[in-house]
Amino acid sequence: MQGALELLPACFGIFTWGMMTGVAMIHSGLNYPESLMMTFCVFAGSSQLAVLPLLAARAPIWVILATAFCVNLRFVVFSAHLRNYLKTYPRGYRVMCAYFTADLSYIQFIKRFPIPALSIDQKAIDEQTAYLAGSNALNWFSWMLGSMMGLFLTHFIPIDWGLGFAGFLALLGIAMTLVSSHLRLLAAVLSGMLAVYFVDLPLKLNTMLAILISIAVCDQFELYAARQLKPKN
Amino acid sequence: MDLYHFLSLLGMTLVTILARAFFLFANDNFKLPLWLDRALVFAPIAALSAIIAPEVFVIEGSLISSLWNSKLIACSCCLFYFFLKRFKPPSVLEIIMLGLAVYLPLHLYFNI
Repeated sequence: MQGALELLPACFGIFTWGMMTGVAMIHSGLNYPESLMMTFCVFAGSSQLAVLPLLAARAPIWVILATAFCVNLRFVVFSAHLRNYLKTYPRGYRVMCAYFTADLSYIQFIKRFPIPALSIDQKAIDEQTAYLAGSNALNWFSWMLGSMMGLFLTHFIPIDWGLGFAGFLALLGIAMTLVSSHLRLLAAVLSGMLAVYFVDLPLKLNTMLAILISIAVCDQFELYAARQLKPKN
Repeated sequence: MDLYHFLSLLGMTLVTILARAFFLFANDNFKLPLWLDRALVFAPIAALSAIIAPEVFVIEGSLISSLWNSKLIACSCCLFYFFLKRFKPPSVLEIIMLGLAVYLPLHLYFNI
C-alpha cells in the first residue's frame, strides 16, 4: 500500500505515456484485439513502440523478437539487482514479481530500500516485497488505463501534442531525487552523455552501453575513494 | 487477428518475461561477479539518465543544433526549480506539471 502511495505522484506520467502508446498502436495499423493483447501481455512500453514499425512492415518474427529483447536489455540489469531482494522466494514467484516490475516501480523500490533485507529475516523481506507489489500494482493500473484511453479515444487525441513527454518528465522528477552524492551526479551525467554519443547504435543498445560503462566507472571511483580513506600503516 | 501478429505478440510476451527475470531464473548457488554487484547501486540513476538524455538532446537521429528547444528549456526549468527547492524536494507531479506548462506552449504555439 505504501509502495502505491509513493508512486502516486508519478502516475500521471505513466498514464499519458500509456495513452501515447495506445494511440501509436492503433495508428500503426494493429486492430483492437491485437492492441489489447499487446497491452496486456507484452506490457513493456518502449519495446512496444520500437516494434510497431516492424510489425507494420511485416518483418521476420526473429527480427521483432531480437529488437524487443535489445530494447528491454536494461531490465536484465534491473533483474540482477532485484535478485538480491527476491532470492529467498521460489522461482515462479520471483519471475512473476520481475515481470510486473517496470522502470518506475523498480527505481522507486531501490530508492526506498537501498539495501536488501538479510536473508534470515523473512519478515523484513516480505515487507520489502509488499512495497514492490504495491507500486507495481499502481504502475500497472495507470499504464493500462492510459493505454485503454489511447486505444479507444484515438481520434480525440492529437498525436503531435507530445504528451508522451510527460512520461519523460516523470522520469526526470525521479532522477533528480536520486542524485544524492557527487558520484551519482557523475553517473547521471556520464550515462546521459554516453547514451547521446552512442545514439546511432541500432536497437537502443545505447541505453544498455551507457548504463554498463557509467556504473563500472563510478564503481572504480568509489573503490578509489574507499582506498584513500583507509588509514595508511 | 492473423497468425503472424499473434505469434509476434506471444513471442514478445516471452521476451518481456525473459528480460525482466533474466537473473531470477537461476537458483540459490548462482552469484553475480562482485564488481557488478557493487556497481548496481548506480544502475537506477544511470538508467534514467540514459533514457532521458537522448529524448532531449537528439531529434531524428542527430544532436540538436540549437539550445532553443522546447524540451531542453522545459527540462532546464525543472532542474532549476528542483535546485532551488533542493532542501524540500518537490514531488514528481509538480515536476511534470511545471515541465508541461513550459513545454506545451513553446511546442504548440511557437513550434520549437
